[in-house]
Amino acid sequence: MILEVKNLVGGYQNKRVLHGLSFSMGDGEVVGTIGHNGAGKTTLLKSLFGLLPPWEGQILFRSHDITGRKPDSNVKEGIAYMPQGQGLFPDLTVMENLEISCFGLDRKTLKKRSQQVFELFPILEERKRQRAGTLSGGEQRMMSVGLTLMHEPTLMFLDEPSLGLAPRIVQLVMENIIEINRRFKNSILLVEQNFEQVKRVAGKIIVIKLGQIVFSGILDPALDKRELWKYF
Amino acid sequence: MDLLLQLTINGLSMGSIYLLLGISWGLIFAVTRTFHFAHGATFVVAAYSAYFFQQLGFSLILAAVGSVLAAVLFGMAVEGILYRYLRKAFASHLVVFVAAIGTLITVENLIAMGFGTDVKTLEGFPIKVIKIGKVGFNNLHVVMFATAGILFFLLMLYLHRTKTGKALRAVISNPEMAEVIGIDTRKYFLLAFALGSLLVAPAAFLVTIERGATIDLGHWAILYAFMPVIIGGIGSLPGAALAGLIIGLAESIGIWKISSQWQVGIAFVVLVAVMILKPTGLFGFRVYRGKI
Repeated sequence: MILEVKNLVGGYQNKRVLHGLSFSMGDGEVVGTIGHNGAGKTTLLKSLFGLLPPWEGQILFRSHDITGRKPDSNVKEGIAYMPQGQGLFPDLTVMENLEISCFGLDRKTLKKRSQQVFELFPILEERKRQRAGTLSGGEQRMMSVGLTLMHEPTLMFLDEPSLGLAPRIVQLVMENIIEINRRFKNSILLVEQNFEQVKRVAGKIIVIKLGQIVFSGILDPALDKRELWKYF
Repeated sequence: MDLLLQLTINGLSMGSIYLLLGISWGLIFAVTRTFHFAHGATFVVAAYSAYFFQQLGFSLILAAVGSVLAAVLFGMAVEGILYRYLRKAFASHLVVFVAAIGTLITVENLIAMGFGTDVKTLEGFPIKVIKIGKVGFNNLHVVMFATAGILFFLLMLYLHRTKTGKALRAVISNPEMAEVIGIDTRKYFLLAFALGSLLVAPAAFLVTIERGATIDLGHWAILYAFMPVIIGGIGSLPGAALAGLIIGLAESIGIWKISSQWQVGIAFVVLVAVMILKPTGLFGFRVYRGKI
């Protein structure tokens, strides 16, 4: 198992959002997480990545306890997180974004890894001297995904990569996620509102309601959205 | 014409001090989003440290070095002890602001208890008057202008050409994302305070040479630190630098027609005028987002 979460409780200051979540992920697996707004999906990712200290419970990464570990340590261990919305540095150029996300690594590694990102997203190479904030919405999302790849993560947390994008761009971003999983064999925990997109990408699904897992299991491609409504 | 040129030179020399105050406070604010009112205390600490070291027998140059070190240590201590604790306790901006004012007043009072309330001056700067036609200025004015120009250039070079400089720009641009990619933002907050304090110390040193240090200098310094930042646009260091020079020029040229006792008021007129015409400041595109 690459990730095991046991009875995770967490939230913001005095507000409890997660009420004892437990699940696990295997190597190379893509797990989709869906739920209403305010269900606790983003809080879950932030707690797993170390941006929010968990209140109770345990997070194991390759059987090592990483509960409450700081993001910088998690990044070094091969865990990456793409936040919701603008997961980039809008005032830095595309190349500076890649450089800075490779912080602490040598120039040769930076070159190799930025080349990997450019292979996946050729448009970013064309725009490498452009300020990231001036890229289109779809290009910005590609940039965000590209940044998470710079440390060659084995486990990626992606928070709503389709948010605010046109349907055609959403398709493209999802195809990129499938390609990343195929090429790098990394595990991806994907938070999405868009169930149809989750179905395309994920092999397993977790449904969260009010900070609790109400359904988890293998995602049947024939599963209809309406069949999941009973959990909401 | 000669008078205008004379006032311009006077304005640029004082504007250089405002430039240093603006970029030092602006850098700290852009990186940490902390309304660091205690920057005025750093200014006073730097000024009185220079005086203290000179009283111990150090040369003017060594007193300057000592003053920079004292300012950097003080700035880092305020961040490391006070602000970091308040952030951990989820203190609101208002609480941080009040704590910063408290720090400024406490430091000023402690210095008054230790050094007295009379004006302290630094000796040993060989003032030489330079005359070009009917326009006169002294070598201290040249030093002020050159110091501000060189420090601003070095800061921009550091922010754009070095790894840690780029990391600072990343923290300014998107602090949450900086954490996400593994940048320990606490270290960079400390670095911003160290750099900001380092930049304000020469301004304190030069002001102490020119007009002497008094304990209420901190209040004056903080006013002239945030005015260029707001006029230039929050997050824009070139904006703060230019605004510092504009304030200096406006104050100096203003006294051509208005009595010098209203000089401070002129700076506020510029501030209010810019706020009405361009609320985001001269180079500000967005509030809270950095554009260095």
